[in-house]
Amino acid sequence: MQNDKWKTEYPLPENLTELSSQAFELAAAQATLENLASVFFPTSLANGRNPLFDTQKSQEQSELDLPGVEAIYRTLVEQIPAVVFMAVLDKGIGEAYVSPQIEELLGFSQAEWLNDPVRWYHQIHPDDKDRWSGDAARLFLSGDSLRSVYRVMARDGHAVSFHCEAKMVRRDDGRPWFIHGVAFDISDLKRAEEAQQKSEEMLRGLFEFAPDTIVVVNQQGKIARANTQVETMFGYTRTELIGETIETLLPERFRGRHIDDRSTYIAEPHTRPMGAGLKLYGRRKNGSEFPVDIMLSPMKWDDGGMVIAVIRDITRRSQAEESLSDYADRLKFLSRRLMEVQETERRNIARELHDEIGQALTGLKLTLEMGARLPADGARASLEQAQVLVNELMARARRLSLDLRPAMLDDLGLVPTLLWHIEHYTAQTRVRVHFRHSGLETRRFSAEVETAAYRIVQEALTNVARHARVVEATVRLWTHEALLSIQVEDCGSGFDSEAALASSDTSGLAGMRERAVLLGGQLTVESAPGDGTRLTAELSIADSPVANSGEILREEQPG
Amino acid sequence: MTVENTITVVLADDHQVVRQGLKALLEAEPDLKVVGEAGDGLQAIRWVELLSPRILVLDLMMPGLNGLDVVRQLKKGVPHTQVVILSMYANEAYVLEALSNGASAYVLKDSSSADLVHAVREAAAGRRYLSPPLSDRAIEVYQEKARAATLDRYETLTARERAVLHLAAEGHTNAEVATRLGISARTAETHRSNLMHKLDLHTQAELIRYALRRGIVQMED
Ligand SMILES: Nc1ncnc2c1ncn2[C@@H]1O[C@H](COP(=O)(O)OP(=O)(O)OP(=O)(O)O)[C@@H](O)[C@H]1O
Ligand SMILES: [Mg+2]
Repeated sequence: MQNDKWKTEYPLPENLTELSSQAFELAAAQATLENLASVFFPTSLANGRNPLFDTQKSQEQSELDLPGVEAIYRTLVEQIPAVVFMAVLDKGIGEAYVSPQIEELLGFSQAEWLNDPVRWYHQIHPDDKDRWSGDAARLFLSGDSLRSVYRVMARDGHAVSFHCEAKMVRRDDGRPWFIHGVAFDISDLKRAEEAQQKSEEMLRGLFEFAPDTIVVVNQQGKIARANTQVETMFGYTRTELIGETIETLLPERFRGRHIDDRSTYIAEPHTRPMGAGLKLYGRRKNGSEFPVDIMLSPMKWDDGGMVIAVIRDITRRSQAEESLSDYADRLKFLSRRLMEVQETERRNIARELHDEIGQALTGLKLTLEMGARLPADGARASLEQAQVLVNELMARARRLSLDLRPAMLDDLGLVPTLLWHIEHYTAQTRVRVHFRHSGLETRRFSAEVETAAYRIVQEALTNVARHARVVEATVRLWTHEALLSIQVEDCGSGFDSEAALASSDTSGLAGMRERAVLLGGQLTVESAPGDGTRLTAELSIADSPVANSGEILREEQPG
Repeated sequence: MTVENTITVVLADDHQVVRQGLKALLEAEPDLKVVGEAGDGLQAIRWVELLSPRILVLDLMMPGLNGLDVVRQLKKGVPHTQVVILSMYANEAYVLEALSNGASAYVLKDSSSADLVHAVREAAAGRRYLSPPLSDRAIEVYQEKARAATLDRYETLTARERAVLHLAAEGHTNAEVATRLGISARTAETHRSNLMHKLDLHTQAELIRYALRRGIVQMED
């Protein structure tokens, strides 16, 4: 490098000996430039000559005894990308040199610097002045070379950082002769350093305050660094973890395998999520486990390759996913059941139409045909028989339609329909039902709410008849604020309601719950084996529109 | 038989076969004359307003505006026309609804044809008629059954809520209730607010008054 070349090609005068002058010691004790200057530049000789490059070749030059250096060094000195300076110590304040590059850097011309030999001192950044004074004192006293960075103010007021290297040269008799040195503009370097520092701070911030645990692991699988998150997430302090193997953070059953996987990864490191498709778990200090996501990336570190592992606690996400998939399962089950139920219902209707109504119609047809062939008085008997058949047919058709869906629910609402249903239920099952209600005598709700309420009572009563082994049950309906509550109670055999609701073998309870939930409500089942059953469904009727056009018409009527 | 004594009838039923049957049946009577036939509720209203018949024989179950809707509409505009409801359902709720909306007669579809003719004449004479086995008495019984406010809200409380009500009425704090029942104070608090909500009670004073009235707790002497 040119700089280094300059150093070697600029041989220092020989016979540098220790400086022992009283004056220097005194000056050093006070260590200010002014003091030093008064020592070094005692007289203002201001002859304007430069001891190195004096072109006048005066007599004094021979006195300086600098044999022919001028020609050799001038070009060099004026071309290197640095400022070369020199001050003669025994010639007074005027004997100084500074290379012309100074102008470009600080805005003062070479002449300005030469004319004012202490300008440079004034231009040193105020905060750096004391340090400079101390350094200079050491230079003068011990003869050690000076090597330091100072900020110097340019003409326009901005600071330029210089890295200075200076040496003192003595005469043969030991008297300080001159100092010379070189100053490099390192402002760019400085700025880069600052920027680097900032980015390092930012990185450290990112590292420390990331919401995830970040662990840096070395080639041997030992934890080299970890951020604070590791403490909250895993319950270890950082000091406990540094130096431990990364497997410390894994459940024991995964550790063996992980050591193998780790070596594979080190052999061919690349950025990737860990254990793609696998469920990963972290292990806290207290032994508890939690689901995690891990991202790995290789990194160059001081002493070889490292691996950064970013560990995220996904407990919440897993729970959400689980409940979502639970819900999806339930939905799948219910829709399958729904299709089955629909199919069964269709089969029943088909059978009913074929067996019951079809047979009756055939009978009717035959009776009428026979009647047509008979003489008038004989035909009468046939017609009467046909009439009986027709009445039967009508009753069947009516029952079939009601079983599918009572039109009454739309026409008249919940209370009449439930009364009708209960009457039939009791007739069929011999289970007496006490029906109590309040707040809905003439009130209508949306079709969804009325249907749900009706189906819930129907299903619950069917369960009572099928499972409870009782002769009595109570149905209660009431409204309170924005809720319609439906309660079906029996004092029968009871059952393990938690287990029944969780099981997916049946659809009755699950269907009731789904209906309630769909309408912004819930289903509560209080039951225990031998302890009867009380089932309560709550449906939201907050914005329940009226059920049918009839109601709207009725509302239009005045009074 | 003079024209003045003739009872004019509009028939409304969505099945043509049924309409034909009914028409044949009614026109077999010398004093009855079918002046219009409608296939749905709206048409029925239009015919009635246009023809002002003495009687509208109206099927309860029709698509669009059903029989009940039609009666409600007509009673506003055409009070002169009496409505005879024809229905599959021997259900008091329907009868009650039809009558209270202004129908004069309720005839079951599977009752005899003589029954319908009778109903039309009765209605034309300004009297009420119900096909057997329907009766005013049966309707009263139904009304009694359907009456609201037969629900005792106390019954809707869970066993736990009843226990909490009892203790709270005796003046125990939530914490005391909790210790007695071996539950957390928070749960006790929830039970208490739920039961007050169910019983529509808002203050401790109301709660005590309720408990006294119901004999859940006795006045201390
Ligand atoms: N009122 C009751 N008394 C006693 N046990 C009941 C009662 N209601 C439900 N159970 C029990 O809960 C189980 C689940 O009821 P659920 O209605 O879901 O199914 P199911 O009635 O057996 O079949 P389906 O799917 O046809 O309704 C029943 O099998 C029965 O053991
Ligand atoms: Mg069931």
